[in-house]
Amino acid sequence: MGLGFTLILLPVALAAGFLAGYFIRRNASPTVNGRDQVFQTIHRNIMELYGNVTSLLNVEKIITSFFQSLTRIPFVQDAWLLRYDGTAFVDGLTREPVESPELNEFARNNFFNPDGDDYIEPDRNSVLYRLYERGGKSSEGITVQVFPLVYDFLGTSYLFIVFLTKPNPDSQLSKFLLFLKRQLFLLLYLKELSFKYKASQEFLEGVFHNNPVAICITDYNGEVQRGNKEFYRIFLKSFQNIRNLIDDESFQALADGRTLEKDFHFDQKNLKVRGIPLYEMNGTVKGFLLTVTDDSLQHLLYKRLESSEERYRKLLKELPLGLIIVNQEGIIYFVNDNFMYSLGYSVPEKLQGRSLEEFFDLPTGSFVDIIKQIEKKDYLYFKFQSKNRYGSRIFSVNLRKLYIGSDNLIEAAFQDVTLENALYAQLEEKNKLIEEELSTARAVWEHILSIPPLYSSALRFETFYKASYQLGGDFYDVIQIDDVHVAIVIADASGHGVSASLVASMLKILVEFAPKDPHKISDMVDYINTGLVKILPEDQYITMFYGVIDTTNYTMEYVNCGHPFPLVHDDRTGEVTMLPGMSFPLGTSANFSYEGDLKKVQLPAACKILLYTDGIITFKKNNSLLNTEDLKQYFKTGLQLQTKDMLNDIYTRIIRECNTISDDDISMLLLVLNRNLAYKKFLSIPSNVLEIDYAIMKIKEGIGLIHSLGEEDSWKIYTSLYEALINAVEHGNRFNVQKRVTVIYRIVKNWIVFKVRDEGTGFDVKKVPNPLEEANLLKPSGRGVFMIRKLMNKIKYNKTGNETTMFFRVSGK
Amino acid sequence: MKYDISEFKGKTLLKIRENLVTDPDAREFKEVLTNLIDGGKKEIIIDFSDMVFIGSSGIGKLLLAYKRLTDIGGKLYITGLNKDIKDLFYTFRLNEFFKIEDNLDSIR
Repeated sequence: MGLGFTLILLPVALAAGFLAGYFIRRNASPTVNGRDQVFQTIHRNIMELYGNVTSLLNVEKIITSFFQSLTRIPFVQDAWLLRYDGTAFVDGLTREPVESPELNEFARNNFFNPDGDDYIEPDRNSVLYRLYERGGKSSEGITVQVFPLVYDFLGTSYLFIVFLTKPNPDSQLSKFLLFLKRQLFLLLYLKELSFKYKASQEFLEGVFHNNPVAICITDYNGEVQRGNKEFYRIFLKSFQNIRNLIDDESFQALADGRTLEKDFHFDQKNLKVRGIPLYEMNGTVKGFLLTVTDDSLQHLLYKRLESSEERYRKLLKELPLGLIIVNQEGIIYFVNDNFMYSLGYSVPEKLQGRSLEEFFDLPTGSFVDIIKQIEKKDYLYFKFQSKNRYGSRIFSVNLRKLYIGSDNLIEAAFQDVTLENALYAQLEEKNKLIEEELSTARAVWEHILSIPPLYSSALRFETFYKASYQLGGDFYDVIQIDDVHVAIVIADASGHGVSASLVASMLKILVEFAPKDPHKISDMVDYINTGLVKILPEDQYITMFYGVIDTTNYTMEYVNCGHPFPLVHDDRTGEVTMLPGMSFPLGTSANFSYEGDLKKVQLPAACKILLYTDGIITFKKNNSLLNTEDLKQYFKTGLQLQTKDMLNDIYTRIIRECNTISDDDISMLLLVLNRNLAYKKFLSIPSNVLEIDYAIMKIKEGIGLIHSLGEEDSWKIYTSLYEALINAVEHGNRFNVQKRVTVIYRIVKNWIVFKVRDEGTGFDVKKVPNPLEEANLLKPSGRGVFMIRKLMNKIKYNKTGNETTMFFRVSGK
Repeated sequence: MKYDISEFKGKTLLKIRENLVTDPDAREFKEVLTNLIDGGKKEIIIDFSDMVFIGSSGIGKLLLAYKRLTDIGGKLYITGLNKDIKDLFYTFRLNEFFKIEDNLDSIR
């Protein structure tokens, strides 16, 4: 848009003045040819037009006459005005659509060039020529000039198009066309603005006039200036001043700038009147705005409601549900038949006017408490029991507030749930019993799974057991057969639940009693198999891996009876391999001998063996079951951690990465074999007080091979170990037999170092109360730690406080 | 736990014939003492001359018995401690509560 456009936005008078000057000059010209006369005439017409129109807003008339004048000019064949709203073209005056997609293309190319010239002369290929020809005329010798009028702040543009018979019109015509363009620009601007104003004005008028609430606007004396349809409908022009409607006091309040909200009676109508003052720009009250609603209408509505209520009443009476309406005190207003019969009455009058509390034991004690609760909520559920003489029935009661007139009433629906209630109570009782049984069984099961003491130096182990919600059929054990041989069992009874766990318990007993000759493994397995065949139902079986490790040469003999392949990690090469060999599950065939399926392997000097039940491989990752290869990877990654954290880590990683998790029980057993550790003696016991004595005996046996202990050394070691172990069992592991206490000890010349570790959260040795303090002198406990300190030469704790290291110097006494 | 109960100078004499380290032993020890006190014995001598060592729980039970006895105005005598245990008892300042005598004859 050029500078000229901006100038044109000045008032019309200025533009007219400028033009007047222009023509005065033209008039002064000595040579006035014919064309000049034409222009003069047109100008005069235009100026007259401006003088005669009542409003500049009568744009259409002015523009039409512009165009009429224009076509009277020689060389001007035709002139168009097109309006473009950004999407399509319409006729600038009639707003009839002008259909031409090419015109849009033209608009895009020519409208919005920033350095827009006053006009454009499109080339011969332009769509405008073709549009011109559409009217049946030839475009031969015609030149088009397009004057764009862009109102980008209004989102509209116009094209003022002139078709000339002369290729290069003289400057007179050019100037005149520019003059017209500027006039048009201004006029169309006014037209667009008024159009927009009209639309919003119409909207507001619509809101005002068609509002269902009566509205009037008055001057500051209360004279009604305007009212809407509803206002005149109510009052039928019965008053001119609102002081006829509202009292003086209210009017004064309004005049003082306050808002008004009050009910008035007028012409047998109940009217609710709201009013606000209207202000001048300078803050003084210039008038008032009043809204009036007719309450008498609502009375009519009430009447209609009453008739429908009658129908409602009839419906309620025959409802298959007890229904009553009571007031705030619990006094019965209305009962339906169902409710009446349920209390043993046949006429409603006997119940009406009596209190609910006469018939029911209320859960809250009194009805007032129910009212208090219902104030906060719109409806409530309760259980009411009818009193003994009304049958002691139990009702589920739904209470809700009811608004009828000004009374606050409560509606209550009664449903007899006596039978359901009794059944439910029984069911709950039964469930509770089963729950209790299951939790006892689970506790027993965990005891069964606890591994007995182990005192082989070259072998350590970690276990992981996650019970399913039901009881499980997993079973594992590490059994010290003799000083050299350690047996490993891991097994899984098919199915789950109580039956699977019973089968697994049977297995535990069979394993306990089976002949455990380390050189005749197949005897053991055959024994167990024969035992299981006798007791197992046909479709049940047990998978089991049974192996015996010779800790002197690290060979393992084993049979795998249908159990998932154990994985072996060679600590030196870092390789993970499966233990090969597979035989039939136990309990399937009575006369089968497992001798032929015996395997013997040489284990690496340092290795870790992972045994597991199939619970862990029923997890699904990316919709397919985990396989041994997946597990190998989890195992390998887990190996970077400390041994005690490995199994937990494998489990949590699998849980994290799998999308389908099964509720089977999951057991893992990790064996750690390391010949290099053999110089340290190792011992592991479940957290059971009774195991402590045995453990200390084994340790003393071990020491006895190197030192012959005197009586004094002997009791000092005994007592210290006892105190340390009882602390680990009691305070560390809290008697949980699933948790283990390990003792590692080493003899270096005449020093013995003991390490006692538990799986507890540890303790802060500084926080142990000093037994020598006056307040603690008489306490029966708390002397253990102090005692060890007195008997041993040195004592240390790790940071966590779950490991005690004791140093003892053999005195020979 | 092996023990004998007899009379000595009008007092009850409890002779312990074993070590008192383990938890089960300590519990039995407590039961024996409780029975004696419940049976109306107010003056009790405990003879430890056959005992090589006592654990912290054994000491704990001893203190429980002492408290019960003082509550009813009774007395607890300890005798027959070997050097190490006597040392330990003194470390725990138990001599401030019990009468610790070297042998039975010193009890009057």
